[in-house]
Amino acid sequence: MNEHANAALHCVDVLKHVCGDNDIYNDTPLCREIRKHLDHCPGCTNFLQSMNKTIELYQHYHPNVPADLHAKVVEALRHRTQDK
Amino acid sequence: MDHSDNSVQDPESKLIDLAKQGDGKAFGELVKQFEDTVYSFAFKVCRDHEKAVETAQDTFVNVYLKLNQFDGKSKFSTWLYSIVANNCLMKRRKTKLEESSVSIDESSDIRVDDLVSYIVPWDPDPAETLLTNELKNVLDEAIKKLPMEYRVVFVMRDVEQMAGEEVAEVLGLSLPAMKSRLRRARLFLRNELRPYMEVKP
Ligand SMILES: [Zn+2]
Repeated sequence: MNEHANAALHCVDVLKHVCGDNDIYNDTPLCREIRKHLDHCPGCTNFLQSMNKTIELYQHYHPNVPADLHAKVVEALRHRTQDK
Repeated sequence: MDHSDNSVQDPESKLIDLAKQGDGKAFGELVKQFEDTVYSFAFKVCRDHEKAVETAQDTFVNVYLKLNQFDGKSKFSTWLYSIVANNCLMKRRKTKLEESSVSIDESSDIRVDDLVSYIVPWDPDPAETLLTNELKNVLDEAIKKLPMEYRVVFVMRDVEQMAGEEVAEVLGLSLPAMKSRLRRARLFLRNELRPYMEVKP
């Protein structure tokens, strides 16, 4: 039980570190420990996969630029910068 | 103007210099070069075509009025991003868009109780093949629930892949504050997508 609680707490620390845009490839004791944890913890590994997938999906979602964008920008510039 | 450190000026800096001197054609060229980037970034933050067009218009009006303040120390695109981000943040205040977004506080962080939900793997197919219109809708709705301050950090750092230090500087945040917002934004979005992405047993 205790052991489980400790292990769980450790996962939280690992995930907070990794999800907070922190490097895990530095040669520090913390990073080494995190890498070791990730090698043996399927929960954290799956979580990281899901986090990376979330980012990837947003990266691949490219909006269509409307055909009249340029005309609209030019129109705004004409109206709002006339007397400048 | 001092170009002593850079005897051959790149075409972008040349355009910017000409536009600063009042060359309308050069300014028009700058608009053409950057309007798609500005629109896409605005759309990724506000998730609405009409608002993204408005933001692009506001941004280029601001660029026209403030171009002399651009000192060339940062990349021109970074300067543009900072104007777009500020326009998005301002528009949010004007329209009280925030009312529809969730509150992101300490409790939205990674918690021991949630760890069990992290075990289920996600669909391993590449993002390109997963991006159906239905999933695009889910992505739009999920990010719209995030408060603007978090959206902007996520889009700049993770979607546009700007350096963390750059994002913090543009938004006037400390690096730890930027990282903390990013962590919560990532976690929130990941949890919103979970029902659609988990591999069904
Ligand atoms: Zn773990």
